[in-house]
Amino acid sequence: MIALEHISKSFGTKQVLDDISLTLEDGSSLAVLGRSGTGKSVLTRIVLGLMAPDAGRVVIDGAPMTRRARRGFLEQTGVLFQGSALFDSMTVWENVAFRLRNGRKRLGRAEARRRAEEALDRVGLESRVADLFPADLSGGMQKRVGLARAIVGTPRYLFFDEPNSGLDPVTSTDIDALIRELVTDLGATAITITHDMASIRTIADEVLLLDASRARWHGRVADLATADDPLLARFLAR
Amino acid sequence: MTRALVPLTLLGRFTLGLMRRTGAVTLFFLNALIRIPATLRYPRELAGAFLQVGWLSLPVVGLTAVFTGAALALQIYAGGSRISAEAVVPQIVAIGIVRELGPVMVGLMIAARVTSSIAAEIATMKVSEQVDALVTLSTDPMTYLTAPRVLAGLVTVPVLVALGDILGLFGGFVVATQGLGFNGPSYITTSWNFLDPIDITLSLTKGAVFGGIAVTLACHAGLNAGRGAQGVGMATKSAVQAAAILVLAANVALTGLFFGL
Repeated sequence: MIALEHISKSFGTKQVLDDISLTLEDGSSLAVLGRSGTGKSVLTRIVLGLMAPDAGRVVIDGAPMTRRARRGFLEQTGVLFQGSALFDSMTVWENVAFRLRNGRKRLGRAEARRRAEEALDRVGLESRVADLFPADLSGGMQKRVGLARAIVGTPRYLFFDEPNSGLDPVTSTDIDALIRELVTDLGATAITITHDMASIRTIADEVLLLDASRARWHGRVADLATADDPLLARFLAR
Repeated sequence: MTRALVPLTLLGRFTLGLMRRTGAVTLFFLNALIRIPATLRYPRELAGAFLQVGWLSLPVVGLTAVFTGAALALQIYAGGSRISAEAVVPQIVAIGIVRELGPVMVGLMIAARVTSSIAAEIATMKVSEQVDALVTLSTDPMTYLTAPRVLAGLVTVPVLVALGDILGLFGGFVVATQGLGFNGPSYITTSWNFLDPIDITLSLTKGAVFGGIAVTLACHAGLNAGRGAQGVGMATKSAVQAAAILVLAANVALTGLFFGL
C-alpha cells in the first residue's frame, strides 16, 4: 500500500503541491491527471524518492519512507519514463537486464539475457532486437523496451510517466492495452501520469485530478461520467 | 542600501557563491573517493573510464608533448645564444618539461578533452532521465558514474604525465641533436643528471591532482546540469572553464609547496 500524507512542495515562491493526501491500496491502478505544470511529475518523483517533499511523508506498507526503506521499495519498483530513459551505450537486452546484472542478486550473463528476452517477448518485441541499440529503435519500440525493463524484476509497484507521449494513436492504444495486461498479470500497484482520457479508461481504476497545486478530484474511473467538476468535464470532453 | 555599497555587496555575493561551490565540489570529491571500493562491482564502467580518460587521451597528449619539447629546445637555444649560453638547452628543457610544461600541458589537454566529454555525457544522461533511471534501478549514480571516472583520473593522468614528460624530452632531444648540433649521448646524460627525484615526484603529483580536478568537476557539472540542450552546453562549458583555471592555480600552489616558497 502506498500512502501520501500531507505532501507539499514548492520551488522558490511557486507552490507546486499543497497538502496532498492519498492512499493507494495494493493491486490498484491510479492515473494522475492534470494540466501541464500542475505537479504530476513532482508527485511521482516524491513517491519514488527522487525528490524530497517540503512537508508531509510517503508511507509504504505502513512504514515511513526512510533511506533504507526506499532502497527496499525501489528494488520492488519498475518505472517507465516519459522518454523511456534507455541507456544509449547499452544494447536493448543489456538495458532490460540492467537490474538483474547490477542489483543485489546478480545473475550471470546467460541467465540475465534469457530473462531479458522473456520480458521483451512479453511486451511484443522479437528477440532479434535484443542486440540492437536504443538509437536503432522507433519511439514505440523504445517504450516497449522501457516497459520490459520496468517489469523484468516482477515488481510490486509500477510507475508510468506519460506512456503515450510522442506515439501515434495505434501504438498508443497498444501500449495502453499492454500496460493494463501487465499490471493485472503482475498484480502490481500502479501510478500513471497522463493527459489522455482514453488511456485512463484502459489503464486505471482510480483517477486523481491535480489543479492549482491541490488534489481537485479523486475517485473511481467508473464515477468519472457522473462527476460534477467543470475541469474534469473539459478533460472528458476531449 | 547606499549606492556606494553595491560593489561591496556584489563582491560579497561572488565570494560566498565561490565558497559554496568550492565546498560542494570538495564534498562531491570526498563522496566519490569513499565509493571507490564499491565501484569494483562495475568492472565494465571502470574499464570504460580508464579507456576514456587514459588510453584515448594518449595521442593528443603525446603529440602535444613532443611539439612542446621541440619548441622549448628551439626557444632556449635562441634565447641562450644571446648570452652565449646555448649549452644549457638539455638542462632547461629537462627541468622545464618535467616540472612545468609536461604536467600543465597534459592537465590542460585533459581539461579540454576529458572534462568536456564526461560533463556532456553525464549531463545528457541527466536531462534524458537516465540518471533517474539508474536510481530507480537501485543503482547509486555516484558509485556507478562518478567513482570509476574519478579513480581513472587519479590513476591514469600521472601515467599520461610520465609519458608526456618522456615524449616532451624526446621532442627536445630530436630538435637539439638533428637541428642544433648537440651530441646525442651527451644530451641524454646531461638531461638525466640534471633532474632530481623531487622533480619527477612533483610532476607525477601534479598529474594526480590535475586528473582529480578535471574529472571531479566534469562529473559534478554533469550531475547538476540544467534542463535541455542548453543545460548540457552550460554544464560542459562551466566544467571546462573551471577545470582549466583550477589546473593552472593548483600548478602554482603545488610548485610553491614542493619548493617551500
